[in-house]
Amino acid sequence: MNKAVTCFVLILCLVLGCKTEKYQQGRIIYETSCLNCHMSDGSGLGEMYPKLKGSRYLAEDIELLPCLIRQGAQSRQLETVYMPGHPEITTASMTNLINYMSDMWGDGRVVRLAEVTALMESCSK
Amino acid sequence: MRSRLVLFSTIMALLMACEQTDRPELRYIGDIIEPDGSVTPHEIRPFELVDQLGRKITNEDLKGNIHLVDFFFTSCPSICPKVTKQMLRLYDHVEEMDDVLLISHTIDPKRDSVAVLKLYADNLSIDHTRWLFLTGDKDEIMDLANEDYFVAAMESPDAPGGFDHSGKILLLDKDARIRGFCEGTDPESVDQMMLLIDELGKTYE
Repeated sequence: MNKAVTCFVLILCLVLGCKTEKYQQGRIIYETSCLNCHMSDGSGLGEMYPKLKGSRYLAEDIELLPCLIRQGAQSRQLETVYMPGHPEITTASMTNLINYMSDMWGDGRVVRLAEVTALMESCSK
Repeated sequence: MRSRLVLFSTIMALLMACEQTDRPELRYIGDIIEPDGSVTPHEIRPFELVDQLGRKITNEDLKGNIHLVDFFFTSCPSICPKVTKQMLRLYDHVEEMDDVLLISHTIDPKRDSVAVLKLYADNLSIDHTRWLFLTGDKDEIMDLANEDYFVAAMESPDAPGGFDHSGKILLLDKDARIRGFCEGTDPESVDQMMLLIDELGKTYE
């Protein structure tokens, strides 16, 4: 009886242990570099800080995302508001970050390291 | 029987004590207690700033309203959007209350002109009579932040966006005295602030 209980607990631990977060690395980068403006739920702020859910950059324009994040962007609404560039984000981190955002707020499309590497190499400086 | 009563009272006292620590309390912040025990109230100095519609706003204009105060700048790449998001939550929270204003001061008046603040406010879709974005003389705003509202703010070339400041949101009563504050970057701290605002509102009913 005792053995059965021990066994059950062990299996439960293993199952729970496997249920780890899918894009933990991406989430950490998101929290460090993106969350202040795009918010923890991706909702953004007003018109100036775009919400991520339904963003074309997480759908048909996902190829533009690595360069956009690396180089930053100027708000169309307000000349003083801008998205800072993030040259410190490596290609591997960029892949993790995009996959995290795609999973959270996009259509769940997965980008691969090779793809992101090629896209980042083609960014105009 | 008696010992049971003692036990019961002890448990009740403990439970009540627990509840009390969860409830934020209205207090007067910044008052100076003199050696003889008398209290000098902390007052916000007279100021004259301009809001997003170009209206002149003085400290006297805020009196008669409960007001929520913060400091920010529009080109801030760090905590400001997060704090503004919480200010928006507070704006929604006080929508049904009379005589409550939100006051956001820019600490970067050089870039944040009346026109820029108007666009910023428009983009948040807020009522320009209930949420004022103030600009004006930089030294005056910095002194207000640091000395009167106790929000550390300074120009700092190394900080993101060129300014270092805290994300505190302050609660002032209708006499313009500071009655509470919260961390504008922390939604839970802002939840507590909402209770405090309700409590302060009730004192005027």
